[in-house]
Amino acid sequence: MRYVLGYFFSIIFVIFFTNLAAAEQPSPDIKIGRALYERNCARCHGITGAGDGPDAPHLYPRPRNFTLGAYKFRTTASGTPPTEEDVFRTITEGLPGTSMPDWRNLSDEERWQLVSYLQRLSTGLQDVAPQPLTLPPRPQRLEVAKGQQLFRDLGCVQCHGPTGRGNGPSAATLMDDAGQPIVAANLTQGWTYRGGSSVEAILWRMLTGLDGTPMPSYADALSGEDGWHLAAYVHTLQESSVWAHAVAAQRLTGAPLPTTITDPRWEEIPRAHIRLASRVYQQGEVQPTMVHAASLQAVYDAEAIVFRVIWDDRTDTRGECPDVLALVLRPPHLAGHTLTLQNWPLPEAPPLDVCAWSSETARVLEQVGRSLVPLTTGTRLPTQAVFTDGRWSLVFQRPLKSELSEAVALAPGVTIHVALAAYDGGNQEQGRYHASSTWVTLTLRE
Amino acid sequence: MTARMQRCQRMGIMFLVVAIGCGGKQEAISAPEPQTTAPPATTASHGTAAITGTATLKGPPSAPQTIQMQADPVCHQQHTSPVRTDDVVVANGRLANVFVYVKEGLANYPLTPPTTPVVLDQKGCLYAPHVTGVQVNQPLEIRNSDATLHNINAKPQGNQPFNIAQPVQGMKTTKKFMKPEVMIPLKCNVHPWMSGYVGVVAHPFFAVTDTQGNFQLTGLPAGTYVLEAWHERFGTTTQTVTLGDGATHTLELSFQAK
Repeated sequence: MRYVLGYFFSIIFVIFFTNLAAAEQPSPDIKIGRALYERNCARCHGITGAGDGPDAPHLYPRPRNFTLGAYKFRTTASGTPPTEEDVFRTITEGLPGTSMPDWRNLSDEERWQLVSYLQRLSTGLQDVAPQPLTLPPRPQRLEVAKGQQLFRDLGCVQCHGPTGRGNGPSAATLMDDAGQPIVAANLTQGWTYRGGSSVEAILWRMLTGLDGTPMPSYADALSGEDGWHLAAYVHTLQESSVWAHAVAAQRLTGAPLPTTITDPRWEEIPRAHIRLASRVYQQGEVQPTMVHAASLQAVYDAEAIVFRVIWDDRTDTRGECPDVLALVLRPPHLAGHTLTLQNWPLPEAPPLDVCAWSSETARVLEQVGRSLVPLTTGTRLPTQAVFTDGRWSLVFQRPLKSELSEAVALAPGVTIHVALAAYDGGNQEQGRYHASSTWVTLTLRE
Repeated sequence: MTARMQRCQRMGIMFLVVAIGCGGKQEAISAPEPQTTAPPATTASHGTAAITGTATLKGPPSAPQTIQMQADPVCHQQHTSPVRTDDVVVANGRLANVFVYVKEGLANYPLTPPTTPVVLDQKGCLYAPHVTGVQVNQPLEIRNSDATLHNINAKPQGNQPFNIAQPVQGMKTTKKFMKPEVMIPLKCNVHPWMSGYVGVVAHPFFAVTDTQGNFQLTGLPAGTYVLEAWHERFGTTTQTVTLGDGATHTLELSFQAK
């Protein structure tokens, strides 16, 4: 009798748990999957999944072309499809730094139906089975110094550059599988890592490679714990992405203002990290701009204010299409105006106080007007600019009260709005084709 | 069902098919197959016939470019004279790096993939050889003989692609291709001038022309074959050849310069 009861309960147990498991991943229903796909996904990814939906020209990076079968963010070997869990994760969490949102508003069952439907669309690798990889066991201590050595020994610097700013010797000639130019990631910008910026996520990318891009799989080249140490080092390259909307200029007394980039007093002043973005169209398609962020610091005394601006740029470009950075000050009387640098200057827009530097003039020129660049005339300001390893550093000094009429007058205690605009000459950015920030406040602290 | 179950089912079916297919005795071919264009298929694995020949280029080829390797000192320092692009290698009208293979006539060839690998090296930041061939499921061993990072980025159409990093000198990566494919392009993203090709064939009768444009295919069973020659810039050309036992047929494969 006891045995019979035991069998009975174990059968109930098994039925209960298999039903639970089945509830998490429903059996594929193509009608449901197709309806969900067409309602939510097709506008970017296209009806056939070829990445050619009506919204696609407005997006950079472009939406994935599922028909090729290649996916970037996986836990499987190079050249093999993702697991169902990989695709489920991407749909659920989205991809930071892109227009792919998270789809947590859909239920688990709905997202699993989309996973099954995507398998039908991904015909390119339909004869290839996923080969899941496993992470090596995580070591007790992550050795960043060892990781740094591996970063050099395993050739990462060739594309990513000596300090990971995407400026290695091979960076300029990289092409994706479609033959289009592609950049190596600037590893200092962790917020752009699509698959996640944790040490574990970094290790997955190195093991699987990013299919469709030049990033290969390092699964055969990383033995034992090496991958963990290397991923830990890459993680340390990431810089702050806490975006500032208010910048404080410190008051300096009893010493002259800094005039160089390397003045040690800059280290005591917190950096305001400012996000630059763009919405540039050429021939109906969004084009990318290359400068995504800059840091701003300011210090002033009774006479003048000094700014230090630092931003990443893969190449030092001069000549007809040079690298440019502009700090734009907004006159207080324009506080009520709707004004943005994104499409400025427009003929009807009010004049702004522009301090613009270019690698070609090697000096900051200040002008109040309707011109962002090129500035070839204007008040010359004392400037120092240095390009090192994929990074520009710029220091310039501006009198608190400029001689220019209509220039913004600064004084202790004053708060004004400023914004940054950056042109990467190496990406042919000029005229209206630039990246810019929103307005941030600049307060001269007393 | 899940991908894993689909795979198990597929493997089960494959096993059944193979088991059934290997059961019967070899039968002699008594009559040509009913198709009008395909030649009759032979089932013998080797014979005593041969095809030899030369690939030629008619018309002046464009001048080769010099490859700039300065971006990687390890590449640059290995060459004492200028390195020319290797897409067109021609001397006195004789074309090298033409992949020649039997395209039709061996439909029922009893393939036994060799276990000896074909070696493809990366030396001086160039693929050596530039064009090579393997049999279906024969190992291709790709070596990095340079003290710099190469990645092997293979873009087949029917086979599984891969993109593997080889950062260490002496590193070897072995791959096998499950389906015939002419030709699979290989490239290195780190060194954009690097380009190579691998042909995958379901029998051993293929060759790559040497610097004299010469090739030979030996040990062919008697039969009628369609021979195809492929060049990466000048396209393909075919010829039909009928061979008796012990016969050697010599031909010229002619390409037109573009």
